[in-house]
Amino acid sequence: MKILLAEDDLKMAEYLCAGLIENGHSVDHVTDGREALSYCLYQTCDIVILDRMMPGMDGLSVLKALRAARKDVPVLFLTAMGQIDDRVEGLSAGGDDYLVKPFHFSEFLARVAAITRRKLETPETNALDVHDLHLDLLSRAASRQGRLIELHAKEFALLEILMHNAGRVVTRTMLLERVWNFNFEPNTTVVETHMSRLRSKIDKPFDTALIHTIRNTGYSMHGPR
Amino acid sequence: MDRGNVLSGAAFSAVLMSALVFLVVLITVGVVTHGYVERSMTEELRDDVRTRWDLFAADYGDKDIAAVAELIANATLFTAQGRGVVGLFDPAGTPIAGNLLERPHAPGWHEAALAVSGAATPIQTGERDFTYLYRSALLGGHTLVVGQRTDRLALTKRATFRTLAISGFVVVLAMLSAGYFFSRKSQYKLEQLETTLARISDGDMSARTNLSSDKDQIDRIAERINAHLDTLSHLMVSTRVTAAAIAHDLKSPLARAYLGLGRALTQFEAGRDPRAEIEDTQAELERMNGIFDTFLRLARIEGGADGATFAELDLGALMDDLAETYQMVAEDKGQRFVYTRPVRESTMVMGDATMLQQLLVNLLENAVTHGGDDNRIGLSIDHTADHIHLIVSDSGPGIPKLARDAVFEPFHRLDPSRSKPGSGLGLALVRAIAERHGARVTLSDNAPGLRVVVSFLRTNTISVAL
Repeated sequence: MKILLAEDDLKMAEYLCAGLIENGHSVDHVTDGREALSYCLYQTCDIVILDRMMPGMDGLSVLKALRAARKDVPVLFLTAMGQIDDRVEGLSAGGDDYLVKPFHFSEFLARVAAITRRKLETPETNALDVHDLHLDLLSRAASRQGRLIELHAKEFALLEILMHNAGRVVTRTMLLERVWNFNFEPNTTVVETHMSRLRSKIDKPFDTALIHTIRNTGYSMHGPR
Repeated sequence: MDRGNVLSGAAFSAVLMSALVFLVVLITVGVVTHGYVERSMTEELRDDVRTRWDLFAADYGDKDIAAVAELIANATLFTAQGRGVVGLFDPAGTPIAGNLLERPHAPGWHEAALAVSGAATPIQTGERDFTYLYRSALLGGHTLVVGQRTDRLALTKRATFRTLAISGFVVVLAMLSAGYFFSRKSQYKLEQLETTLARISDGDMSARTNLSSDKDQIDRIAERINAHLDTLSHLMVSTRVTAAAIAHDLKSPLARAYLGLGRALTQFEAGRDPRAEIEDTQAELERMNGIFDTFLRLARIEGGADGATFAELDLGALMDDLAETYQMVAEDKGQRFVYTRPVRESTMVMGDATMLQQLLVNLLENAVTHGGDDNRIGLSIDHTADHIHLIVSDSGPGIPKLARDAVFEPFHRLDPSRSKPGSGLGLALVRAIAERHGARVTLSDNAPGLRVVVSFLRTNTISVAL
């Protein structure tokens, strides 16, 4: 994938570039908001990673100019400002996701993968299938090997996101944001508790586990490989 | 004290203005009074003269001129010392009777100096003769002149003027002295205020203005300034304490991260796997980041710069959502969770959903974290006429009565060893959010445990208040 990274913190950019290249992406790096805008207007890339605060032109203005020019390249915001209104502002200006510094590189990678895929995604489906697990989104019913599984609201939401991203990593933070709408880190084991409940319903009674823990990052759902 | 400042003071200026107004009024009144007194006294004199003239002339009607002359000669009381003048002249102008020496030229009413026998020279005016108001008229070919001296009129006029002038002077003097006195007093108080403020800006936060017993405007302002200074110095102290607490709370994970990285390097150099140490370090850094985030959030809510969008929202729905989550968390830890969902009463409040969610999460997390083993967590809503009370309770060790205020301070933690998770910002954030919503947080004994009540105004009450 071809990625444009607009980030004025050189050390930060160096780490991110190295990591992205190691993961098989090609990266162009700019340090100025205006450079980022002209790059996007005259060249193509698969995703833009925009720092909110940059010299020349701030990330939000770059994004607004891009959207005004009808460029719908996916944009991931990076910011040190982690408050709700910044987040809302970034997303409502047409950003696809928002990541608050500091973050784990695995979190960053998972978000990059998620938003590029989201753009390519086929429209709404009514059901999701992973291996022998079936989730009917309309009747909100889960079944595995033909056995109906009862789920609480949060368990259903968790499962839906995992199955939607089958084969990819879903981070803890992503789950907190999407299932609970939490934009902060709780002190208690909210995600872990719910995940263990979900596992006891989805995985425990059966031979093969579908939910896999990715250490220090999150979870991934996939059938036996 | 600078006299110029006193004289330019508000009290003195006000008095000076009133004195000027008073003088203008006094002069106007003086002029009007003077005119009135003069007119009425002249009128009275004229009446008197007319009456006397008629009196003398009455005798001429039934007797002859000799009878008039005799009457005039007998009127010594009237003519004594020239106070009154009377003269009877034959048609040739020769005086027949009376004290008037010369016949005036024209008949009618006149006010003029007359030569009168037996009259003293007027001292006051220095004139040769006194001025008289007189009537000269014909009496059957003879001329009868009757008049009265007008110097009494002048004297009265002068006395009136002098009285007004003296009283005006005394009043103005008294006013100016009072003005000076009050202005001096205000000036003194203002200077005290100035000194206090100067001391404050020099860094002496203990400086306060002494209040007088007058309770005037300046005293009230001084009182307000003192109160503000109290709040300010309290804030400064708590800011310093907070800054120290931040430093302490951030230094501990920093120190551990530092050591962790050092350990990792040693492991690596020894050819061992440094992963565990690096992960520990990451966890410490995450902790630091969490503290930063929470503190930033707290500062923004307290500063009102949180971008909150207030709308009518259902507290009950928010509670439903979180009750499900925390029921599982609590049960996972072997604790009981009892959620009493309000059925009939409305649970609508004015609020920002994100903030209220944070408030509820913080309270529930505290209950789960600090509740201990046999913990029983309660989540419910209570209604009174004006308020909706959100109640979160646990059966843990609770908070001692004396510490219940302090736990709302940022970084305050009951457990000095800080072995339990948390930043010490949870309740501070709860209070900040509650205050932002006009709600009150009260802590009480749940016997055993802690009972937290957040009292929101009902939405209908708010709409009335707005």
